[in-house]
Amino acid sequence: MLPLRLAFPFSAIVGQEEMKRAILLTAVDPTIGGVLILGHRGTAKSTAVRALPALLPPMNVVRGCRYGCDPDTESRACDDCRARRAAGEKLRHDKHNVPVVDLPLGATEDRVVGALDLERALTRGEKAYEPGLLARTNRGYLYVDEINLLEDHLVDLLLDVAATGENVVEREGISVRHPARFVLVGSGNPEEGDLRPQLLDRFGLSVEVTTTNDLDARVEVIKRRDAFDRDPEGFTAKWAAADLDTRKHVERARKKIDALKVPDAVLRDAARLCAAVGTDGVRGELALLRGARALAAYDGARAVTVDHLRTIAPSALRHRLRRNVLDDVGSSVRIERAVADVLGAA
Amino acid sequence: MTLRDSASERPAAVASERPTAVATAVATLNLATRAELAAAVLALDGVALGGAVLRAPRSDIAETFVARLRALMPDGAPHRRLPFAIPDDRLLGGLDLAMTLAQGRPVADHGLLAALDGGLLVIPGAERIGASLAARLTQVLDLGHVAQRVRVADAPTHHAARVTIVAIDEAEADEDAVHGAIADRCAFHLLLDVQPLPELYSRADIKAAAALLPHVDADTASEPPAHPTASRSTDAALRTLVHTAELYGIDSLRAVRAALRVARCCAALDGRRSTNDSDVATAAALVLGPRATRLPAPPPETSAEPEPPPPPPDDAQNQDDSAERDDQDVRELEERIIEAMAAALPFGLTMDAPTRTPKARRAAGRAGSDRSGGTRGRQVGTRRGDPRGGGRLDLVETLRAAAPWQPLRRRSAGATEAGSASAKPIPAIPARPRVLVRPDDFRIRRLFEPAGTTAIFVVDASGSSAVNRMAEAKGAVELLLAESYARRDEVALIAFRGAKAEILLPPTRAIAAAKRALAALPGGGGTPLASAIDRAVELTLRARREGNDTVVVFLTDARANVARDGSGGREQAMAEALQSARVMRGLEGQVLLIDTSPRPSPQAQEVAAAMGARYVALPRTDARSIHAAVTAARA
Ligand SMILES: [Zn+2]
Repeated sequence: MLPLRLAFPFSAIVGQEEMKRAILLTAVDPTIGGVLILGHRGTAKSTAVRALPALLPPMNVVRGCRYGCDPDTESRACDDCRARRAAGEKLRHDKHNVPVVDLPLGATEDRVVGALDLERALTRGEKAYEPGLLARTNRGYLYVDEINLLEDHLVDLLLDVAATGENVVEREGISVRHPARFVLVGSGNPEEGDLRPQLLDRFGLSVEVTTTNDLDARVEVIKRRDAFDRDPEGFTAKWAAADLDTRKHVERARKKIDALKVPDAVLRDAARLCAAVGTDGVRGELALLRGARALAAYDGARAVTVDHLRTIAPSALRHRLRRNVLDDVGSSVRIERAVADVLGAA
Repeated sequence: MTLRDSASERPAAVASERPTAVATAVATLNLATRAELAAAVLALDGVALGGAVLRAPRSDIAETFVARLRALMPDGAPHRRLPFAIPDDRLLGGLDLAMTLAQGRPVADHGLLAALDGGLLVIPGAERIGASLAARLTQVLDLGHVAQRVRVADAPTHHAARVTIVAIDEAEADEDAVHGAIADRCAFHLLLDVQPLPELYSRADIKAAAALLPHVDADTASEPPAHPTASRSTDAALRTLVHTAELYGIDSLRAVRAALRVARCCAALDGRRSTNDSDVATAAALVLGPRATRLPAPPPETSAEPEPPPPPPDDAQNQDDSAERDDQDVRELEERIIEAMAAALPFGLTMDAPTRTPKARRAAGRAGSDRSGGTRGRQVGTRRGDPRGGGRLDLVETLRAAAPWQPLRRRSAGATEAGSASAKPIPAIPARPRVLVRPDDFRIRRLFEPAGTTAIFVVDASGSSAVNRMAEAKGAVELLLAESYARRDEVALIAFRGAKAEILLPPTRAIAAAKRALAALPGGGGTPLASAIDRAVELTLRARREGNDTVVVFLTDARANVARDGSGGREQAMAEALQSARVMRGLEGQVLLIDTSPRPSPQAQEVAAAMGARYVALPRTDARSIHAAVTAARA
């Protein structure tokens, strides 16, 4: 098997704090939903998500399971695992890195959801299911670069599966369902065409990445990238400690998050904030609260505060604003104003 | 300033011919020599540097570069040309048709890019590559592999695809250039002329340089260079390159990274283990020069300069000296780079701030055109059908349809060995096919239907119209833009005033660009109506070529008073406008003319009739009523 290129270490990414935070928070609480990364060419939109397998704690995976089931949560097990358990088999497990699957542009729907196993059908005349990319993505991340170029029906499909956590296949006489819980990370260049507003709303968080104009920061970006290109192993080793520190933070936050309380006052503030910026529906409010809670857990706070709301509001809400072409003010600025109005100054 | 260029370290025999030996005279390198140097660098480090975008007056000249590059790349390195309408399963892999049918089990074809691992992909007519093909190519360039698209037992999930590309840009001067995603990843943007490439390097030179390359500047970060003026730490070179990019208005950090690598390649080609000023200047000229979007502003007045930050309290004494020397070095290097860059800059640069919109517009327009398919329609499904009727066979789906029947068919095929008419296998397979496929099984690709619409707004910004309705027209167009955005239509904007009409915005789906273009639209001057209609005809034809429907909306009082040649005169101007209008009618598209005069004008009605346009008079125009009229016309 071809050794894939090492990924650039998460901790070595210069700046891009909002993007890093959004990605880490989905690692703390995957139910926040997908992350949309918007930025121009050459802003390293893919770097943070591709760094995740090396960064996040490895996970236990049932040995022999095609869907990467967790041995400890039987409620989310696939049919195969259930059947094995029912037959009295003691399931063993291995440690695997969190999967980050790159959706290749041009991937067919078959490859994504799975299809009839051609090999078995042709050679043995058997109807069997051949899992697709979504099976490999279970409990991890699905990354779609240039998501604005993906056919709408595929984006819809991915968001549906991400929302339900289950891939349901009904085709060619095959009827299969399997767990597919993943965080969808899409990136796009806003100058190359917009995403449908209905789709935007379904991402939990969105971030805008830009290239810095600061000379020192630009030098540092290239220097690290260059050092990595020249010696990937050495460079990765140098940043391993910093990555480990981040991993510990994520692990701690995962343990804490369930016990974290969201005070009523914060709930009310979140609702008022959503009303003030005029986002429809509950998706924005949910993403805002979940994001704030994950942030509080990551920060090691005792409770969710209005500061957490304030920090996460731009990411949770900016892509849900109704586009007003007659208004020149950017989405981020509109959110900031609303935050200042509703929550007061920081 | 050191000009010695560490001549003592270089093999004497070749010293006088090599570009780096020309020292400060990078600026004098002609196009052919620069191309030769680029070919050598690509043969050395092409996978990391992406490749080259090439412009040449004739295609055979572009081929001389390809031939040179092949002569320098390792013997036997694969080399292919990218067919323009390549389907995904040929580019990225799919099923091997002949083998699958012959063997009766799926056999994977890994596709063109995997077959080219370690080799060269030549893209003729690279300007025709749209956003989706560009994205497919760049994904592979970035990852260095293709993912297996059809699962076949025991096949690996990825195949190495480390390719160097040569994108030949054959665009006419006023056409779109090579897609930005590709151009950004190609280190070199080369211009060729009729001169043959001087053969300065050999394959053996490249091999020797390849052995040296990993060691170039490998430890400058930890050790001070032995000859501070002759060799330069990565840090200083990098700072200079980043600064140079800023001076010349180059945003892409990728380009700077490439320049740094190219500097090291130059050192390696010259047989050195450390880069010097000349390498950095050469790299800047080669990589950054053609990307410049502006000239450096003249140095600011010293009095205007912000006060330098106070030196850090400790070590200040120690660092003073070396800092000063570094500063001196950096300044000298910068001067040298500016000199080297001068010869490599694109024409027509000014000292203005770089205008980013044209690039963005180009990219945006392309994304739209690509989406609508045309030659590269993308598959959205399959249907039953006969591929000999012109459709493209979807092999996987066909085999899926055939698969469940195989045992049955084999039995019946065995029974009637002579072969009944209904069991006729498709022709290209061996006498006893392992898979029995019948016409019933054939599945045809359903390609993406171009349901897109391009809305072309032609806005009269002349004096007479501006007085009447400029603000309302802008407001209406903005409303229509918002609607086009929701419908995912493309929009284009033509404005006319003064001597002639101008395409402010080629078809795009990026609404921000449209808004900016509209906001910046000034009013006043004559009414060059004929020229406006001509531009609208041009955009209509362009949109049709992309497979889009069009709707053209004129907002004008049609008081034509400027002829095509820019001269005044109502009569001539009106005659020409009517002539153009008849051409527009010949296109048989949807056209709408909104009369912006205070009361319905006979002229506007006449022009509308000549265009075959729906005429809408709006005596009390406001943005909303214009919007309503257009919406009604489109329904
Ligand atoms: Zn399982």
